[in-house]
Amino acid sequence: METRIVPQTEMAAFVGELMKTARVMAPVRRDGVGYFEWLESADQLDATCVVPRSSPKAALLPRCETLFGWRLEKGEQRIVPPPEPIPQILFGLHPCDVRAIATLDAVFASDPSPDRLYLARRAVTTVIGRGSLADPATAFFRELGVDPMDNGGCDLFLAPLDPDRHVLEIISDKGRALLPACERFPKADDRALALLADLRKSSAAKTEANPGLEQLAAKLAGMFESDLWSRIHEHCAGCGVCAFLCPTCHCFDIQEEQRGDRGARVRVWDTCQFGLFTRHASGHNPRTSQKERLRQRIMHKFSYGIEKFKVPFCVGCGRCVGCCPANNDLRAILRTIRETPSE
Amino acid sequence: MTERADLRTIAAKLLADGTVDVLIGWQPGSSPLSAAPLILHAGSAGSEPGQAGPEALVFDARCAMNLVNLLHKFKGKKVAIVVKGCDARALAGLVQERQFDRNDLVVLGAPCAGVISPRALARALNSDSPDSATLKNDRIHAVCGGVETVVPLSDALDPGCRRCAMRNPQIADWLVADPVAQTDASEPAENVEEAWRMTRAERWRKFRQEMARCILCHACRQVCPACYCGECFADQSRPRLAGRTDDPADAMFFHLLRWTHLAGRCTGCGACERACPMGVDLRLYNDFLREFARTEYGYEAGADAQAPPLIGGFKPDDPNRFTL
Ligand code: SF4
Ligand code: SF4
Ligand code: SF4
Ligand code: SF4
Ligand code: SF4
Repeated sequence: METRIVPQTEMAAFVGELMKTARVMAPVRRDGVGYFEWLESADQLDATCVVPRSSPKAALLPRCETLFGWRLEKGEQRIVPPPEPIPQILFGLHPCDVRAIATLDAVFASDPSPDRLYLARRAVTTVIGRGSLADPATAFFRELGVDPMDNGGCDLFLAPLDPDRHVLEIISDKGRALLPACERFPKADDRALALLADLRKSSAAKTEANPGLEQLAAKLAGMFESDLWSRIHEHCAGCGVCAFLCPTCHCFDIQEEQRGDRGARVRVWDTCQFGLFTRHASGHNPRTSQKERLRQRIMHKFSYGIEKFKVPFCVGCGRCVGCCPANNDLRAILRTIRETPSE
Repeated sequence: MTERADLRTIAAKLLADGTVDVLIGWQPGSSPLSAAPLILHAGSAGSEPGQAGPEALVFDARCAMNLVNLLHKFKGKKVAIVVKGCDARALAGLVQERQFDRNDLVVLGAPCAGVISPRALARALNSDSPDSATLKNDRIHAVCGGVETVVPLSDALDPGCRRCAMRNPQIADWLVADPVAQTDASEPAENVEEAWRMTRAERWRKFRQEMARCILCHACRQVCPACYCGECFADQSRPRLAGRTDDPADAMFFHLLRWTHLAGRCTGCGACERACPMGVDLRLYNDFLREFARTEYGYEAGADAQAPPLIGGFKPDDPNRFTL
């Protein structure tokens, strides 16, 4: 694998080079808060942000996506196909966010019903991960077996050596296509690579090798009627913060938009935390309270996801932990589940 | 009559002697400088795994959510609730709107010198994810990216708290701390003044920019004590009223309609803005509403639990300059 050394001071210039080849989504900081956003200029990049508040899923599953448009021409309806996706680079993703893309792939890119729009976007997406030596206070990816120095799933990976330097690892064909932007950086020498190997080793030692997710899924499967649910939902406000910020939550609603003689069918983010999510056309709602809705969120993430796709729908990024207005801490919920005796 | 009491002692007593079925208060939260609601049920408080009892109750600048929002989940029960000054006003509003019978509630008033706003805190620290942060003698000691910073608590307080006119809860049965010094809030809010100084085009640009940030997660509505409709207009689907696309017009529609419903009802508690994950400047527009109720109708939401609500009252001398 080809490796280079990228000084921290050159990070914005590197992003500037990348922006010549594709549109780039990267961490920015506004009023002290990190967000993943499409860059307008390279100097917007915030190279210190580890897990920005908004997640990169918006690049693959936009908050609002046109499935197809239509217009009336001389009284006849013509279908307008959605615009072709343009090449995009997701820059500076924490390995937990890269893992989240793998879970989206499991849902949208897998048989028997791959999603054409998702596949098209995914095909023009290059993922540039960035490792981290310090874990955010709200994150728990290590407990779920995600190592913050792991380059799996990346096309390029920036592995931190110290506050001033990263080793740039050029991993896949998509990554090699960006070689012209990387060639300005010196090759990594053996000392740097040895240091990186040591850092990886000590990071891996802190990451749970057997997170026991199958056992958790099996336990949860027997807890659908547990008393636990009537307790942990009591202070949950039932908003969309946890799901909308989550890099793995992928539920959507399909709506019709119309203006005059044209319109579109769009899909927009939705979440099992909303009451409307399960309301039937008859008016009946099988999930009448936040108890059932919160149970769905936990079950989907740690039981159904693992059963059906062999991956949890949570990567431990901690966004929902830090941003829940009611401080309904997912880590505490998981702890309570583990401590509850099996029936 | 309001008596002074110790928070944990009175909470334990109310639960033990059967005065209330449920108690809603605060406990320390799990992320830096956060607090979480603590809901205790008579008979089972503290007895289940992972659940704390009355001894875990706290009240300080971390207690930012408006707990009155949670009251709606316990309708028909006898409830004791810990309220700040602004929460007390929200509660008064609900009593005015006949959502709760005051006699079913035991109000534990927590005099409040201001709560931390995640937005103000992030701005002060230039980070929204400190490794750790603690509050000591009105100073915040935070570690961000391994570097320690100390900022005065006042920098991290919700700007609305600085000019709050009702820091000491008005409708409390018990006060769980000594009253705090009151501020003079007779001057119009600075943010509103500043917005009025803008040109119409600048105001529109600012509004559009704020609305473009909104991701329609509905957290602002979900945490608001005054938003308690069984079916919100935004959730009507037969036919659908509100769009959910990323066109800022959809966010504008949602917020403008919501504000229409909150006119003369929003107490400016700021819970919505503190809950917003996208940093939308909801306070500015809420303050506009309150300013308007004050100057046009001489009405302050939640100031008097006995008074008729603004929308439900009529004064012959109302200037009537505004009709919808
Ligand atoms: S857990 Fe928190 S973020 Fe999620 S719906 Fe409940 S209150 Fe909102
Ligand atoms: S559930 Fe929470 S911690 Fe897990 S991936 Fe989603 S936002 Fe991150
Ligand atoms: S947790 Fe809820 S919103 Fe997230 S993917 Fe699962 S069902 Fe959808
Ligand atoms: S709109 Fe916001 S400030 Fe006004 S009462 Fe509701 S939560 Fe409080
Ligand atoms: S909380 Fe913020 S992002 Fe969510 S709907 Fe309200 S204004 Fe929009």
